[in-house]
Amino acid sequence: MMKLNKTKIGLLHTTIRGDEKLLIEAAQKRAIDLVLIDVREQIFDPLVEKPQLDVVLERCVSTVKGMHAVEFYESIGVPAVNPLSIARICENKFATSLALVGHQVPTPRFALVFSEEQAKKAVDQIGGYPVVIKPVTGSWGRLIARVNDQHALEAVLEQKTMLGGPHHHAFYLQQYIEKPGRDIRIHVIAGKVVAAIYRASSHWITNTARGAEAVRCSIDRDLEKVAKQAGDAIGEGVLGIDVFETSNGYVVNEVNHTMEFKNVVRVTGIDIAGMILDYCVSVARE
Amino acid sequence: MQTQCPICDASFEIPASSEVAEIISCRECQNKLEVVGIQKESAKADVKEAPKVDEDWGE
Repeated sequence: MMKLNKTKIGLLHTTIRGDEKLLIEAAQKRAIDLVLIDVREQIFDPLVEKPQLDVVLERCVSTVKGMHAVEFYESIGVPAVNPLSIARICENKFATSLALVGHQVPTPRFALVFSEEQAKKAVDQIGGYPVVIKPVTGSWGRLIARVNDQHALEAVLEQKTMLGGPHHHAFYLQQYIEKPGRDIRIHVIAGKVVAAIYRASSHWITNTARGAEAVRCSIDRDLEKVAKQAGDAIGEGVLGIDVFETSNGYVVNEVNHTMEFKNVVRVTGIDIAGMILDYCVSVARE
Repeated sequence: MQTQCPICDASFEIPASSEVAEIISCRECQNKLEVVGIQKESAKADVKEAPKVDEDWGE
């Protein structure tokens, strides 16, 4: 009888969060050989032999470190979940929005400009005040500003221009969407919609990292459709999609490529970690 | 496992399931700490002050 080798998955990480601990537990249950690789301790030199891995799972809390690590492993022939092609779209909100629009996925109006003068024109173009200004890279609702009028726009842009590095001088503007005190985080793994939560908050920023409460969300047909559309626009992988409810239906706000999921597991009981590992195994076998 | 906070010197227990690179909180001063080493035989863990949240952190 032929003996099947265990799949060897490299878990690329920086600090270990509750999400990574769920992955470690799930690997033990599945008899998967999960190798913890703290990217902060690696020397990414392609001329030095690296441990044999079937696939790497990128779970770095730092986007920059995670993307460089994936770039390295893909270059030496180790497939990654998520691949660099997905990370490059998701780590940049402008690239994400362009991909969504390019695939006819409903998303808030947006524009990217490099000057205050163009920003004022862009606000009119995308529907007027209020608008949201976001850094093109970033997460957890950091450094995003709701701008209610032109005075606030001028102040925010002056701050960004004077204090920020070059990447803060690309001004991503997005139509402000009035939410019903919550948004939706929905997970798509290998093209399948697997779980969703509401993130409820009285604040207009509804990230759980900013104190929003995770509440179970049942997935109706329209929500499933828009999540699948967004997943198709970004590429097959492990995705966390942020969706707003509007009077005109669901709109996709952002897509995350190293999604946190412990709150989804806690609220829904769905084994997201196991699904991610199963997907890694299927990628390794391709 | 037993550990000691490098900030306030408090000694306290952390779960046996703790992993290297995991972030924990000091039971006394509540500062965030990162586990940097585990000695299973002596049931001790070494910790250091956790890295500060950087601009590219998130999901």
